[in-house]
Formats: sequence, C-alpha cells, structure tokens
Amino acid sequence: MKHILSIKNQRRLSLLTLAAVLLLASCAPKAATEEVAPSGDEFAGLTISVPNRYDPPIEMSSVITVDATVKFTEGNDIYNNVWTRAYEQLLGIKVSYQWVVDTSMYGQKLGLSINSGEVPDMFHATPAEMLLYQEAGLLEDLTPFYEAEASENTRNVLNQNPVALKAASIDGKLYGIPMTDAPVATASVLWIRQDWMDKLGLTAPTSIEEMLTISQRFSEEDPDGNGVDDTIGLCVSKSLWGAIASLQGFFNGYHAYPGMWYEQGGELVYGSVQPEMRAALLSLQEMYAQGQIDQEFGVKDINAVTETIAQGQCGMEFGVWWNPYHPLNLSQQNNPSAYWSAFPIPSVDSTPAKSQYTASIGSFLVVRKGYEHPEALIRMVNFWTDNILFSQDDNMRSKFLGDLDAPDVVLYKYTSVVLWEPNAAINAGDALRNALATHDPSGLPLEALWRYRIIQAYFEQGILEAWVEVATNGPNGSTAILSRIAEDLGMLNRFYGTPTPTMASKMPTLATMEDEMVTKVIMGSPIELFDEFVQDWYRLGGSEIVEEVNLWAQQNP
Amino acid sequence: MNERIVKLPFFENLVNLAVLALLAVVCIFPILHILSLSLSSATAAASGRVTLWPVEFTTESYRFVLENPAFLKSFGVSLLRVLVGVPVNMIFTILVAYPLSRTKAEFRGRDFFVWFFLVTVLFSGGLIPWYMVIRQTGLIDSFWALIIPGALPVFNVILLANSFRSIPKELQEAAAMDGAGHWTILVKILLPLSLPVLATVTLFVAVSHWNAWFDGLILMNSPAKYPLQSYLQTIVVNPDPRMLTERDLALLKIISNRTTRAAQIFIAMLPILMVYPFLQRYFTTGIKLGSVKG
Amino acid sequence: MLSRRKFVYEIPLYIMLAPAVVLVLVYAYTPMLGIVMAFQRVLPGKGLFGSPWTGWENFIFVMEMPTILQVVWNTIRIAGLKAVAGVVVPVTVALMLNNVTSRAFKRTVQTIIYVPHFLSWVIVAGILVDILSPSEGVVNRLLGVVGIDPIFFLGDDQVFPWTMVTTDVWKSFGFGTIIYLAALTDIDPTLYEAAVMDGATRGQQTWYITLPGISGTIIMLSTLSLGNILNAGFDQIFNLYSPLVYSTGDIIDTLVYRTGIMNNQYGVATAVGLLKSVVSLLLIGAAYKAAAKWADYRIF
Repeated sequence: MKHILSIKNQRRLSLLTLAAVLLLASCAPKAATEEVAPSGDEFAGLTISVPNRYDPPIEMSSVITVDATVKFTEGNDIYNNVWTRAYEQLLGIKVSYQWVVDTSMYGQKLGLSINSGEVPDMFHATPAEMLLYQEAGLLEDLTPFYEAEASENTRNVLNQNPVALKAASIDGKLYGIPMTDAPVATASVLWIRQDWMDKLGLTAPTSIEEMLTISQRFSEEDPDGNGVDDTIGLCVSKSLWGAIASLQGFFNGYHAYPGMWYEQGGELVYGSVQPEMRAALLSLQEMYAQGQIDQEFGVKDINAVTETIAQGQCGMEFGVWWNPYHPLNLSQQNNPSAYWSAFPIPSVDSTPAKSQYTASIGSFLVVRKGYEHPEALIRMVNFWTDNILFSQDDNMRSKFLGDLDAPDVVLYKYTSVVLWEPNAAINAGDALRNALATHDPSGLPLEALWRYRIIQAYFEQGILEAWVEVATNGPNGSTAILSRIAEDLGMLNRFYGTPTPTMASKMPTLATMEDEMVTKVIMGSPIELFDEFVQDWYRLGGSEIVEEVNLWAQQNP
Repeated sequence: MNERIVKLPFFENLVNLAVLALLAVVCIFPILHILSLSLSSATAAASGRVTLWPVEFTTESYRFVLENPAFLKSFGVSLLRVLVGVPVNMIFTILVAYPLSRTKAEFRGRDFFVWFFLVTVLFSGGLIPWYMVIRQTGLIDSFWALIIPGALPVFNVILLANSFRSIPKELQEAAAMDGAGHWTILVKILLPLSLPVLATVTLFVAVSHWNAWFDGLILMNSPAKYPLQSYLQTIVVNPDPRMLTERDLALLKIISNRTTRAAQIFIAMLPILMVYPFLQRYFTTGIKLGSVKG
Repeated sequence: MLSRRKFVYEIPLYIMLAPAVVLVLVYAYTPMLGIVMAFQRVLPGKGLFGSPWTGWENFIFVMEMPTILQVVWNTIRIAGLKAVAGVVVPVTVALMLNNVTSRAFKRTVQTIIYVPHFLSWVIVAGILVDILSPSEGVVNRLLGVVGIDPIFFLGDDQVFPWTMVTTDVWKSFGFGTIIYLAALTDIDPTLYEAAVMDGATRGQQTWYITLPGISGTIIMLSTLSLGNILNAGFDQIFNLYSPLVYSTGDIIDTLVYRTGIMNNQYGVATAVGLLKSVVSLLLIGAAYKAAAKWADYRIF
C-alpha cells in the first residue's frame, strides 16, 4: 500500500496507521444480526435488504468516469468489482460499460456518442444535458417507476434538498434521479492562522472591523518572525471565487452576494449589481493599497496561491469547510506549529453575516427512452440508500465504500449511483463533537470513531498533524460553523434552473466584466468603475436576464 | 565537402555564438526546472522552493512512476503508435507530395488536387461528424483510430512537395529520357536528394504522434488504451468543493504531487529528445550537389 | 491522341494519389457535412439533417455577444503579431546557426531550442507566472540590473499581447528553425563559390543568395500562417489570462469556450468554426493569387 501513496504522505501514513491500530485495539467487528439476500461467497454474512431481484438477470448498458484518484485492489477493475458483482448477484442487474472515460472528458464523450446514435441505457447528465436530451425525446419518464418502487430511504434523501426533485422534473414529469450532494458545503468560512493570532495577542474577529485589524497586523508585524516583510493578510486568487482563497465570504460580510439571485422587495435580484458590493470593494481596495493583499494576486491562480499558503506567508483566506485537508495542510507540513482555525464570517454591522451557497443539483441519473427496465435504476438507488447510505453496519460500509486502512481505494467510485445527504458532513461533525464532549465514542460508526481517535491523538499525544481533523470536526471546527449556516446563517441562491436564453448568450461576457471590474477596483481603479459596471450590466443583457429569472421564479415558487 | 564557404570574422562569430548560446539557455530553463522538481521532495515542490536545483534530493518520484503499470502501459501504446504511425504517415505524404510537385504541364489535375487537400486543413464540420465517421468505419476503441484518420498530414505534404520542386528539373528530364517512369524518378532521384526535408518531416510526424492526446482521450473507450500524453492529461485532478465524505477527503490530501507529475513529464520527453540528434545527421548542406556530381 | 498519351503518362500519378483521396474523402470531406449544424439548433440523436433549422440564429448569437468586436480585434492583433514574429525569428536563428562552424555546438543548440515545443501550456504557464513576476521574477530582476522598472508582463493589459507573442515564439521557434535549416540545404553551394570569386561580402551573400534561396519556404509558411489569423492560441491564453487583461487578451476561442460551459452549444461552435474557415480561405486564396501575380511564385 505504501508505494501507492506519494512520498510526502508517508508521514501522514504513520498517523493513519496509528489510528488503525488504536481502532483494532478497541473495536472488534460486529456480528451480522440478520441475513436477507446474500448469495455467493463474496456477500455472505452481510445484512443486505433487496426486495426484488431480477431472475433471470437483466442487462443494462451504462457509462462511467474514472480519474487519477480511482484505484483498484488486486483482481478488480472498473468492469469487475464489488459494485458490478453486487448489482449482478444481489439485484440481478448486469451492468456493462459502453465506455469508461476520464472525468474531465465525460461531457464531451457523452455528447459525441449520443449524437452519433449510441445512447446508454442509464447514464448521468448535467441539468443542461438532461434538458437537451429530453427535448430530443431520448429520456424515459421515470415518474411511475419512482412512485411504484422508490423506498422510504430513497424518498427521504431526495426530499432532504427541497429543490432536488423539482430540478429533475420537466413539465411535471420526473426525468432524472438527482445525485444529491451537500449544497451548504459550498459556503465560505473564514480561515485564520491561529498561531499567528496567539503570537500577536489577537482574538477571534467578531466584526469586519476586527478582521481588518487582524489582516493589517498580520501583514505589518512579521507574525512568522523571519525578519522579512513577506506576510500577506488576506490571500486571494485570480479566479476571485471558488473553494479556495475566494472573495465570496468577504463580500458576504458586507451583506453582498455576488453571482447569485435572492429575493428583495418581492422580486429576485442579482447580487453582483447591488449597492452592498460597493463598501466591500472599497475595503478590499484599501487592503490592497496597504499591502495586505498580494500585489500580484491578479495573475495568481489556485496553484500559485497554494504555494503561498504552503510557504507560510498567508494569514487569512475565505474558503470552504474542508480547506484544512487541502491546501492548508501544506502550510502545517512545512511548519509543524502552523494551525488554522475556522470562524463564521464576521459582519460589517450588527446584523449577522450570512454565507451564500447554492442548492442546485450538478448531475442527474437518467434512463434511455425505450429501455425495458427503467425501474432497475430505482432499485439501484434503493440498494444504495437502504443498505449503505443510512447503514450503521460497519461491515457493509467497509465492503461498499472502502476500507479505512486503505484510504486511497475508494470503492463507491466504481458506480455512478451515489447520492449523499445534504447535511452529511454537518451531522457527522455534530455526532463527533457530541462524543468528544461526553468522552463517549460508543455510538459512533467506524469512520467517526476513526476520526475520534485522531482528534484524541492530537489532544492527548500532541500529534500535530492531526490538526486537520480538529480544525474541521473538533470542538469549534468548520463543520460546526456549517451547521449554523444551514440553520440561520446561510443565504441560499434562489435560482436553481437551467440557464435562461439571455443568460446563455450574455452571462459569460457579463461575468467577465464583473471579474474585470472587481480586480481593477481592488488594484486601485476608482470606485466609479463599479457604477459603470452596474449600468453596463443592465444595458448589455442584464435587464432581460432579470426579467427571465423572475418569470422563472413565478413558475417555480 | 566543405560545408561552408565563408567563415565569419572572429568578433562577429563570437557574437553569433553568444546569442545562440543565450537562446539555448532560455529554452533549457524550464526543462531544468522540471528535472529539479522531479528530483525534489514533495513538500519542497509544493511550497515553490525548487528552481534550478533539486531541494531535498530524492529519486522517489521516478521509482513511483516507473512502478506504475498505467504509466508503463500507456508508454507502450505511444511507442507502438509512433512505430506504426510514422511509416504510414510518411508513405501517404510522399505519395501525395510527388504528384503535387509536378508542373501543371506534366499533371493537368495538379491545381485541383492541391486545393482538394488544402481545403481539408481549412474546413471541418466539428467534432460530432468526425466522431460519427470514425465510429461508422469501426475504428472507435481501436488502435487504428490513432493512425488512420490523421494519416495524411497536409502541412508536411506541402513542405515535401516544395522540396521536390526545388530539385533541378534537368536531372529528372535526363532520367525520363533514359526511360525512367514516375516511380523510378521518385524513388531513385527525388527521395535521395530530399533527405534533409524527409528527416524534418519524419521528426514532425513522430513528434505529433508522440504529443497527441485529444484523440486518444475521446476515441478510446477505456483508459487502459490511452497513449502516454492522454494518460498525462488525466493525472491532474481538480478538487470539487462539494466533496464531503471522509474518503474523498483522504484523497484530497494525496492529490497535489507535483514531483510525480514532473517526473512523468520528463520521462515522456526523453524518447523524442534521443531520436532528434540521430535525425540531425541528415541536415547536411550541399548533399544534393555532391550526389549529382558523384 | 496527344491528350490520351498524356493521360497514360499521368496514370501513375493518379495511382499515387488514390489512397490519400479515399482517405480524405472519408475522414475529412464526409465530416464537412456537419457544417450544416451551424444553421441548426442541434438536438442529439437526430442525425445531421434531423435537427430543427434556425437560419442565421447561431451567427446572430455570436454577433450579439457584448464584447465581440473587441474580442475579434484582440484575436487578429495577437495572431497577426505571432505570424510575423513566427517567420522573422526562425529565419534569423536559422541563418545564425548556418554560420556556425562547430557541428557539435550547432546540433546542441538546435536540439535545445526545440525542447519547449514539448511542454504543454499548462506546464509552461506555471513556470511563466514565477519567472515573469514583477517582484520576484528572474526576468524583472535582470531588467532591474540594467535600470528598467519592473514590468507586469501578465497583468498589464498593454503588455499582455506582447507577452503572448514572445512566449509563443519562444515555444515554437525551434520548430520553424528546423524547416528553414532544411530549406537552406537546398541552396546550391556553387552560388556561394561564385559570389566569393566576385568579391561579395558576407552580408551581400546573405541578401542576394541565402534569402532568395529560402524565400519560397518563407512565403509558403507565411501564407499558411494567414490561415490561422483567427486562431490566437487558445491553450496559451486560457492558461495565462486573467481579469486584468481581458480588455486586450480575451480572444474568440476563450469567449466561445466560456459560452460553451454554460450551455451545450454545438451549433454555435460550428458557426464560429465556419466563419473562421471562410476568412482563412479568403486570405490564403488572396495570398496565393498575389504571389502568383506579382512574385510569379506558385506557393503550393
């Protein structure tokens, strides 16, 4: 296993091994309580519930993606693995892949093969693709099959995101099963170098004011103590938005919500052209002028910013909850005492700031019109939700998700029928924090127990590398903040449809204009640029887009 | 033969050499950088501490790459692609270049065919029909999809035809008097006299086969059949902001291995860099005259 | 009679062309039927002629993009500069290499300058951001030595197009140099011998023998590069541009790419491709005629 990991992870490996050893010492495998449908040796002894099995087995052609992170154990490959065997032996569905392609090329390969007349029985599609294929009459209406066969658990997970099934429906008919994920995970939190704050005697920021002070002192008072003026208050990448070194959270602190739609005065408005943007831009401009933002951020992509973070020059960034896993862990690897803490986004006034996020679904599982067994997809989804997603059975989870001792082999990547609970990360974090507070890990599932041990290793044995788990799932970790965002500190993008006609033709240019304006204002152009941008935005198509989006909102209340 | 007629004066020669040497340095810089990255520790590479000299020297990346069966397999596909693709391309190129190098008097259809081929460079119907045709001809997921659709590189045809045209007509007329036909003139006279351009075109064809990545990704139905450059495209993984399982997160920690990428890029460059000097011995001035007189 | 004998004489030529003609008909001409997609709203699975016809809608879609004129101008400017530099630099380097006596030196330089051609733009971009940085980059530090203020090569919209041209030349001049070196070998050495007898200086030899000797190749490659006047280099610009330089650096291909992300627009992509092809054909055709008329030179 060691050779599969890259060199730099060998240190990390010791930590994983440690956790595994701790686990083995404390936790014997649980015995299966009931056996429902195992057939064949591989699945013997597991508790599996499958109400209907095709006998004789049916055929289903599909397609799937792989990428560099998809690894196999000896004797398995994408065509023959635990998932394909389970589908065949337990469900009676023989899945064969027409093609397997690298994730980055999936859309292109799918478009080409479908256009040349080769439509798989079951595949996954983006919202725009689903709309197009439905219009071309290629997709089966799944409504009756969903009504007839979807299990309790399946309905449960699909209804957890209130817009999921709506987004999968066209003219009131269900054409796809939404591959639900965690919308709130796209919300920003504020990451700050805790060790620097401690050194300079700073405390957690409760307002924008305090955050700006922290940024200023980080950049001026040489918190890394190397005698060189090389520290940066706030790290920003040239792409401005996204998961790492983003500005989204910064704007949210000023109650501005760039790039998304929200309700104001009874209708939907676009955040980027609202007056709240102005104060945030001016503030960023000042930070830049004072050298608190990298003077060359305008050309630095995520990789370049990652380098800055790894070198320990970065004091603060807005990013998603998992940033400690990447890229913040690099900073700790280079400097063992580095520690990043997550904070809720501070507010410019007395109203708490809300983190923006979007609930739209990225992919849908769809079925070819004319395929003899459309309900097979529903059964595959049921298999996932009934036996794995909500399962507390560690044996099942290891069997179908992956063995925690071999974290680089992730088994569910071998199937495309994967749905998650929107609040999975939050729930897991809450359970863990609860167990930590009561010192009672007994109710935790295997993965959580694994994390519990790691967090304990940090506090009790001083294993500094374990900070990643502490910063995310520890007492004040980022998932605790997500939990509050999901409750009342979040701002949900109201628009979750496919691009409207004017959006499709004008938005790329308008978004370019916006990024240009934001970058230039930060770098010192007069703030009037923002006013000009707002006017241009409406003039060059924005007015039509606003109308279209509001029309959409009336149809999708 | 004396290769050069006039030597530069000492000082000018010095400037000439200095400028060329400077150009070489500017061009070799990125390679040295990549080589240093591939021989450095992953942490040093991730924090941008490596420039032109390895930091925390290690050959671990090379061991990792060379033990990776997917890398070796795609390396094999690429080698085979060059070994098969270059001869196929060269045969097509030569066979088309010859008729197009004739004068209008010798070959009345010449102009028509020139534009017939040239138009294919300028116009295309886009990816979909191209893919459909390749599928209809049964090449999807076949090794031959990497060879046949692109078997006629028109740019190289033009290069070679131009070179054929610059060969003195007298030689060919004399041969024709002696009863030599088109095939004889092509094989016995034009090809031997065009070695520099043939070497150039061979190099271009080999390089384009070696560097091509898009067709492999889109025309093969399984990653096991990817050529090397297609494979190299797939090793960059962009983290998805919505990752949320503990297993995804475990993967996040192992994706940023720049040293391994550097090693792969370096290994991928080696074969062509080794072939090139070998081809260079055909770039020799005056070879034509020599053969004519001899 | 004469024409029949002539045909017999030409038969081997047709035999030589036959395989290539078949190949090109199948793999290049048949797919050209796909050009009809420029006039359709492409619905998958309907075949080439089954999708609804939309007339010029896809073209109008492109023309109505707010910054389209600026973007077309950016494209022509960058591509044009690249075309010029892409001829001048390789010719100069080829001439310089031709003057080198040491064969080992010549071959080493020749090999090394070809090396950047092997690196993808993603890789090169990562390196360029470092070495072109105004504060820490090697290039600006060297400029500082000779007293020049730091230049923001990738972030200044006045400089950016030139940075694109320079880095593109850097990456591809080794390739062009090889072609010109091969062309130089076609020059008859007796011409030089005669020139020396007449007492020609080295400069005169270059001007009156060497350059005319490779002028055919120069004209031909320049003409071919005209065909790329609307292709300013997607991979390069996509990896290096930023909001700071959109005003001068955004090109047709990057604009279309950003549109495509939002929407599966095969029709639009085909329409843009068709426009580019027509412009290329017109330019190449004009150059071909011009060369034949004024220089009495047949390019192809």
